[in-house]
Amino acid sequence: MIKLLKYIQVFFFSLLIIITASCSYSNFDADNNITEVTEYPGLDPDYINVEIPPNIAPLNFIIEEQGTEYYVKIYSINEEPIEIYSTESKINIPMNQWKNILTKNTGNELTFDIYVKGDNENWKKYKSITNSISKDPIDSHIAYRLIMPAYNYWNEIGIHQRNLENFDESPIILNKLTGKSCINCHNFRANDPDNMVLHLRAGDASGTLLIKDGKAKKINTSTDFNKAGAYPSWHPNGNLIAFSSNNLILFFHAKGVARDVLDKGSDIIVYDIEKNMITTTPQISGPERMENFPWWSPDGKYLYYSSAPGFKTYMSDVNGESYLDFDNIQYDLMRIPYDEKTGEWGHAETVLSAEITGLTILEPRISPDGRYALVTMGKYGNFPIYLTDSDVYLIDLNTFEYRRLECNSDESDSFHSWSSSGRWFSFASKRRDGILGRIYFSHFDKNGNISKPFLMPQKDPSTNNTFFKNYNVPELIKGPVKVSAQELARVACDNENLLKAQLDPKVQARIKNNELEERKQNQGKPDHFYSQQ
Amino acid sequence: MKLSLSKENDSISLMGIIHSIIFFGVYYLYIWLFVNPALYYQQQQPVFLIDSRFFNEFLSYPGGLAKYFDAFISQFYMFPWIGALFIIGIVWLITLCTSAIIKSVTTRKEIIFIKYFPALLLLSLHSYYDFALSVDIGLLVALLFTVLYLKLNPENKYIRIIFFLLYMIITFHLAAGSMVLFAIICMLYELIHKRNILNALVYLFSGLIVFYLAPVFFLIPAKDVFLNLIPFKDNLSPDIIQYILFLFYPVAFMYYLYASNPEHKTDKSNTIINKILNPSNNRIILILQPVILIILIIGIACFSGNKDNKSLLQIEYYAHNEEWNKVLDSAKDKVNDNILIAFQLNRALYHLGLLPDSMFTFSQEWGENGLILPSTVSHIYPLKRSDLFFEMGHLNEAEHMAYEALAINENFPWIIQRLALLNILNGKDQAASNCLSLLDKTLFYKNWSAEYKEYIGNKWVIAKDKYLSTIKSDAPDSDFLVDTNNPFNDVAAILNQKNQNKMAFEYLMMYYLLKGDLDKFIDNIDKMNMYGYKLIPRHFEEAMIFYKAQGGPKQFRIQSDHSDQTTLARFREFQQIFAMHNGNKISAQKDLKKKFKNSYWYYLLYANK
Repeated sequence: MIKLLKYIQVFFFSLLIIITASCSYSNFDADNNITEVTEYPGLDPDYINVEIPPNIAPLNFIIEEQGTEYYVKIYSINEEPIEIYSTESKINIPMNQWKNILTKNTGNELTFDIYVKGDNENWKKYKSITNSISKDPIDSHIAYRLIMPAYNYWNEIGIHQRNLENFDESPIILNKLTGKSCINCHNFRANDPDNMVLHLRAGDASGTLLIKDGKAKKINTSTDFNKAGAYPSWHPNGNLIAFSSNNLILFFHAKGVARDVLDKGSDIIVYDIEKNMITTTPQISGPERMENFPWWSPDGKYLYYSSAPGFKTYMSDVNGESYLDFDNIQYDLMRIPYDEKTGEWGHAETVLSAEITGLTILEPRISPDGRYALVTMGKYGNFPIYLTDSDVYLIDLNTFEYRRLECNSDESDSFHSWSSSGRWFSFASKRRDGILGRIYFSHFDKNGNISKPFLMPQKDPSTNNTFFKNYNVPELIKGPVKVSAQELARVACDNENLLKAQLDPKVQARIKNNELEERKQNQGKPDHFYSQQ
Repeated sequence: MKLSLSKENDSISLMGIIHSIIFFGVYYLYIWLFVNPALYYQQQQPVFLIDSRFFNEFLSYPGGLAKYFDAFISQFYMFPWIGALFIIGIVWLITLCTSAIIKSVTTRKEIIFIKYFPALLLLSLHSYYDFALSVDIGLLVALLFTVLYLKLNPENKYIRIIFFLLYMIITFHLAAGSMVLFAIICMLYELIHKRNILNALVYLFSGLIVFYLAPVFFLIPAKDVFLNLIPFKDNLSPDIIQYILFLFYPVAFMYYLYASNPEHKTDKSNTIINKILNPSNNRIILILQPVILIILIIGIACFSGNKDNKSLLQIEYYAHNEEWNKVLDSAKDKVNDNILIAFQLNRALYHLGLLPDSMFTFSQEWGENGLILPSTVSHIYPLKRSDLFFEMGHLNEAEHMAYEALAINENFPWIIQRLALLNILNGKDQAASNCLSLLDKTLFYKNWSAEYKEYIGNKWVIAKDKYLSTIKSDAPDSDFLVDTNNPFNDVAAILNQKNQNKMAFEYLMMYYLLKGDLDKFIDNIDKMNMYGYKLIPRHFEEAMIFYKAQGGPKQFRIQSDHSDQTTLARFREFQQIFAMHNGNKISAQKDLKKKFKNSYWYYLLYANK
């Protein structure tokens, strides 16, 4: 019996050695029979001819070529090449070697040689892939919402942050800690993780969470004049946050993209943190137009926003029934001057009209140097993430020239975010499958040229296909949010210390003039929708 | 003398094994054949993926691992005999642990009965289809560590504290709230058996500290830290049984601790109770015990479970497997009980080609909502709505409902299968491929995934698949806006575009009949010729005759060779009976019901609301 046990022990020990040896032994030999081909290998994600930041995590990928063995050599001018031998098509690049090669080769090219061994025992070498390592680092973190492709219902939602220099992901807040509320509309003051705002909707935790200089509090931004603030933008002075106050409804198509959203009369409000006060001006919250997606210029002198004629403009009566021409609703890009010393608003002006572009103009984001605006344009409407034709455009604010960027795809590209340096931007794109939003990055040089976008790297690249959640509203930030998810959830659920925002007396006076009634009338309900397109 | 004692003990042990085999044998048959684990699967819709991200999510909160094992085992419910085997295995281990805990403090024999008590309670709990196996697993973990603590019991009280703390942390991470059971038994053991107040107090406070600190370390609401996997958390119907199950252990343990104390021992060897409890005293009782246990099983089985829910799940199970005749058989007498039963019955009628002939044979109390579930129940039955819209070619709404289902039950394979098929039909190859890749990470849907990988980007394969190609050709070609409040407006819009869509036609026509809207019914009756009915469907003909008899102004033509002449004769008889009662609806009802309760005329007169 003891002898038998010994034999078993020896057997398993030998087996262990064989397995270990076979894992570590690379049987790629440069003297092997190698056939060179002139095409690039299939790579998922597409990391071919891209420019990458010097501080990005390893670009792990899957080689989409049939083979029994794979060999990858990654090299640049300085530092030893990285060599990876694998019997799987999934290539995981060692973190330390990757970091070394990137930091010592900024501004240089980074070459990937890929070899695949076919069934015939011969190796095939594909055309070398040449990427470039930028001198400009990207902000170390990115914050985004993870959510299933949502229609009316939701279950688990969370705002998460990812360290772009490695693969660490941690939750900023999870709705399972806040009674399953919907969490959305997160934003940071100039990419600063210590100054963040986000909104919770539905349930006891409803309200706006504000992290200012690392301390969290909860505010109820709804007043007699407005619904709670949604899409936010921090004024550079850190004391004002502009919000959209939306009145949106979801509707569905029987063919093509299923979901669509109708704006029935959004406005823009501004929250003064010190005074705990909501203010606005009729120019951005009047009944005649629908205003959305506010964004402050980096100098704080202008508030940019999207604006469309009021909902009723698109309605018509036929035989006593009202019809809505929903797919002709287009938003102009506008801006309004603001004097932060006096708190006075100037006259709103059109920056770029939908009439000129023929497209709806949404989500203005001004570059940190104030020179450019990134916007999303599409055929109609206000919800680019649902529409396949939405693309990211660039407007030169000196010349007001605009162009569709080369980073776009046939699917929805939207929700762009500048890095703090202005040399990178991220955006959400559904290009992979038309359903799931994924985060892409492009380099942006001082002349407004951009590089081919690359997908945010994942530790396991196959999760890009099998992780059934959308990455929503990616926002680049300079470091991690330090307030813990538990603390944020505690504040969200603490309604005893909820700050109820006061309404500016000037706005209160507008209510007395029956303006709310007028707004309601402008938000009538159509009996039917129709399309002119 | 020693020899005879030994023989007697052997005989008792053998009888114990026989009891156990009989008990768990009957238990197994009950779970397998009567409860049917396939219905657990239908109710709980468990998700399990072989995926590190999926696993890591379970690691992130206390009790997650118990739920992970639950998710794994629950996959086997698809094969009822294996699913039942897993359940029996866990219940058997719980029984062993129960026995070991009691044996650790007493030598009394009554444990033969008592050790089965938790198993009997679990039998009752498992008769409810929403009862999660993770509760059993959590309990088992707590009991296993209790046994470990009681068996490996060093004399040094400080070492015992170290053991306790180690076990407690592991138990808490594995089984969350069930850890309380472990802590309480250990505390009682120290307090009563060891008479060690210090240890008992340390155990009490360390247990409280764990609960206090856990929300800091885990991303879990404070209440879930305390209550995960114990009866107070989920609002399950048999609460009282769960309370008894969890209270049983401290109470029984205290009793045995008390009874094993020499100061409390009395001579009870001659009492009747002890004779029953102590099998060594009476061989007949020893033999009778399995009979008593079986009677207990049957008794508990009779008084446990929700019979209505079981019927509904059974119907759902048949519908999912497209066993339409079985749906019809199971649903026909229960159609008024639940809107879902009416929905599945009408769906079965359609698939059996009987909808326009026999729909009014069954009660249609739910009206048009029994044909298409209304949007107001989308949050409860999104996948059922998706099923129907998919079959009808209303692909965007099928997708809409599938995503609603996915939001509620993330990654459930049936939803992913639906999305895969929708994406294949919509030509979204990458999205379809992603769905199939996700199914590759399941235990039992890999073959299905492999089969449909052939369909991606391959129009010829889709064209050869009669089921999918019919759906594709029935789907609308151009957009219209979905009417979420009245899905029959969508059905009419689909039919306007695709008049070969037989399902849309029959559902729309039956909707008009249900609403008594004969004008619109007649407007569409000409389309009937497209679907190759050998005879005009009975309810259609009944409606047409009625319309004519009422002097309906619209003209339509019935091809005489397609008409069932007896329908006209039946209508005349219907009219005669009605006339016999001088047109009195109430007095005519009894006579009309005898002959015509399956007719549309009877529905119009008495059931149409």
